[in-house]
Amino acid sequence: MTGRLLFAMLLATAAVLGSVSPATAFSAQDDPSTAPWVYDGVSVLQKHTEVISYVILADNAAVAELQDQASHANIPPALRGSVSDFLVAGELMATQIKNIKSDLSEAGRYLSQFRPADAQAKSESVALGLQQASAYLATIELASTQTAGWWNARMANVGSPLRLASDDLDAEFLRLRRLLDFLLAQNIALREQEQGMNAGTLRATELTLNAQPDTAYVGDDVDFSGTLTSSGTGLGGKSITILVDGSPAFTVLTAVDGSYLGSMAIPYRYVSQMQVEALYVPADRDLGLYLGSQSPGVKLNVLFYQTSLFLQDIGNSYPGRAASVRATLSYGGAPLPAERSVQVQWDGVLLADMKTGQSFSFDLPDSAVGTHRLAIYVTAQKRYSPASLSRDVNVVNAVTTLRLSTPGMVLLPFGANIKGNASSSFGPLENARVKIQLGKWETTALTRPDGSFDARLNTGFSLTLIGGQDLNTTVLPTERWNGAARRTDRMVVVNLVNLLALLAALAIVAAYAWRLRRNLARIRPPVPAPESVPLPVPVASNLQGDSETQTLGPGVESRQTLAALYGAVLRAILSFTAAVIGPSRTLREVADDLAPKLGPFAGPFRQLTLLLEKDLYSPSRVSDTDTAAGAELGRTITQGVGRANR
Amino acid sequence: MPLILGIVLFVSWLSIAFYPSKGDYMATNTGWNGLRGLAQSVGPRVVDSIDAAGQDEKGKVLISIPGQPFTQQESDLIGAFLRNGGTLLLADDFGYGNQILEALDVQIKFTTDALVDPYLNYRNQWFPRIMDIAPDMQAAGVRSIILNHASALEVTGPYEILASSSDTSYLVADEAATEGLKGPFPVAARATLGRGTVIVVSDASLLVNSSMSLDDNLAFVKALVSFAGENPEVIIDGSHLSKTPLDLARNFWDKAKGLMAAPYIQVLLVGAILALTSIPVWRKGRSNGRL
Repeated sequence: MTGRLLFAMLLATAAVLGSVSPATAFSAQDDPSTAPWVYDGVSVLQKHTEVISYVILADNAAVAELQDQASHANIPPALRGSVSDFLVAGELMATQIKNIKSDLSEAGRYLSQFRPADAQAKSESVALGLQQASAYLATIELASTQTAGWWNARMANVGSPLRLASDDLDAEFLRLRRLLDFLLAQNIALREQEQGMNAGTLRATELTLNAQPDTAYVGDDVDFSGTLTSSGTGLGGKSITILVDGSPAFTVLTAVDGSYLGSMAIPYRYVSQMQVEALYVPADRDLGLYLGSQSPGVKLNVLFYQTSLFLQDIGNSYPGRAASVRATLSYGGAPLPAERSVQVQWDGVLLADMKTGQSFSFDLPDSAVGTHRLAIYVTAQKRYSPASLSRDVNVVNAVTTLRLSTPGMVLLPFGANIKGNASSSFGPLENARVKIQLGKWETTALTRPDGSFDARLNTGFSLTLIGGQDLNTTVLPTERWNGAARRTDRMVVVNLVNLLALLAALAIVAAYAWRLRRNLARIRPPVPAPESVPLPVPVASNLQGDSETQTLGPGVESRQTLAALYGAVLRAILSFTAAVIGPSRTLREVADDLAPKLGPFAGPFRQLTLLLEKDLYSPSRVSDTDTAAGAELGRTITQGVGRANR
Repeated sequence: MPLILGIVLFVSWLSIAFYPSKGDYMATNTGWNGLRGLAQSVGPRVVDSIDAAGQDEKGKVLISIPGQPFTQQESDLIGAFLRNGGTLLLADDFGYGNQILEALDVQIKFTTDALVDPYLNYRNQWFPRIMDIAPDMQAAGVRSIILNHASALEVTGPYEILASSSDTSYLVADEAATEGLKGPFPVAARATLGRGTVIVVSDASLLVNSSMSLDDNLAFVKALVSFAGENPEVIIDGSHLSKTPLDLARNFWDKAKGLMAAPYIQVLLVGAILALTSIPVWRKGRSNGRL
């Protein structure tokens, strides 16, 4: 019954202590390691639809982003392969459609310039691209079928989110196929136009181009000349466009003999070479008469003074601490310019805009800890090329070094003196706040100009006895450029009060134990063998009380006559009756316990017990008569019990 | 009966003193929902009350997981803490975070709806994977983080968005809902208040032990804490955590220990122990009458 009650109470206690917080409207959290895996078909199919949309828009970069995103998505392991195939093929297809659209545009432009041969080349490229796109489409469709099939999306209830997502994907595929059909139709139309041009009566033209000089500085003039002919006859009054790296630069008219001449300043583009071409596009009365033509390209070697920008090694910067940066400009062996325009940006914000010579410097702004972007732009100036440079500048706090001198041991409730020194790469820390914490005790100090500090950690009372404890020291510098520092030292903490109290308690217990043992020894002298137990015999002199040292019997002192007598009688009884006395029994309880064994001698033994109690507890002394009566009782009991048990 | 009561009390005391807490967000809880991992990584100390703000709180981060409402006095003290340069990291989902944000006049609100992401997640939609991370955080090595039954933020002030959910995420009004307002939504933002900084994160579970090993959650938490500077002093506000009876009992025991460590009480205790141990000596006379 008691065990059950104890178990029930312990169970109730465990239930109360182990109960958790009340729930809220939503689960506040869940154990991620045991949370169920749930794959959402709707979102995966919607992402597929989004991919197809970007393929249609020929946005391969967007598809690549979705591909990267999918690597972090929650997709069933069985579908990882097909989803990956879908996305890879999708990106390739988007790129392919982009190229097809570009080639179609180029081919259309060539046709508008009456250049059927160039257009045909592009058209053939388009046809090849469409073939490739069809192959990618097959891969994408297969992969999406596998994905939709894993969730049985096409068999889902009509109107359900899964079915809607699947239908949307199918609709997007239809749009993609229509796009491919449209592109194919466009290409066929272009091919027909090319064939029409080639089969017609349009006359071919040839265009030549020369450039003098073929090497020049930017900004310098270059002369261009050439001839436009058709079947060897020069064509006069035709408009020739000079293209520099594909962009129209200027236009000239041909002379009567078909020749043309022009001059152009080389654009301020600081590249080593430029491609120059001449283009003839039939217009007005020439439409339907001549085909367009483009001259072979002419390479122009471009010269300029290369500007090099050098920045000193900045290293780290520190918040609140001024930092100046120096930069130099170099031009190799070129003549030096009078001045250059320089802009400096810090994290994209203009920091300085200046005119400078060969070198310049500027101050970095006060910035928060972190990585910041420094950018310098040197503007182009005639023959001098522009230059730019950017660097990541780490703004950091200087590492604070904290040295401590601690006593190693703290005696509670006394305190401890702690000395130390704080410094950083900028030197000693002055007026830095030092916080020292040992358990619940805390003290603060300020550092001196040399970075040193002294602190007195006052402790107090605690429940601890002895053991290790962490001494946490934190330094908070006043300067923003110096970082905070923290260190932990292990200290031995000795609680003197508790330790002394414990020792005192132990000493008291030990003293008590020793005294108890001594008293027991007095009551129970060494026990001789039962056969040799002498019967107590009162001694006359003792009965007269004239001596404290005379004995009543062997080993019994006269002052303890009754106690010794009682002990001897008891031992005799125990030896004769083989009775056993339990521990911590009172004298009267012993008498009661032995009564059944003593029979008629129980009464005398009780009388002897009463005499001993009188001796032990009564404030009045035991009389000689009592002692003699006790001796008589002892003799009667021992002889009687001995006879009865022989 | 007294013996049974004694055993029950002793077992209860053993449990209170030594049995690790199972409560959410408890610093001593080594289970999945505790903050033991955070304690080991950023070394915070837990305070049981917000009762004072110092003159210079620079370099201090107070992490608050508001599972309990704030009093006006506590709001005022947090305001003073921020004005004096402290950093408050308020991590909440459906608790009392809005109360303190309103009191501080920060134009950010926690949504009352839950954020789910059925596509970008860990295991299921209740663990949204956040991949839109601010450059500052990316520089600290954070590429993605995992939330756990999170809410989202409504940021209407000119504050820095530190992380946002994806366009496949949405808010749901209850756990059975399958659609809601479409994302992306901010999930972490930083506001400057005078000399102080308030960092708001729409999920307190980001800090628990089981979250630390997911994606870059640990780096994210460290980066948030480092907004207060290098080696910041991190303090966890333990007074607003929802506590289990065991945690409440442990708090009570801690307070009792603190009380017992007071000088006068300790002197009395030592005296009482000495007196108790001496009782048998005083009763010597009576003991002598026993065998």
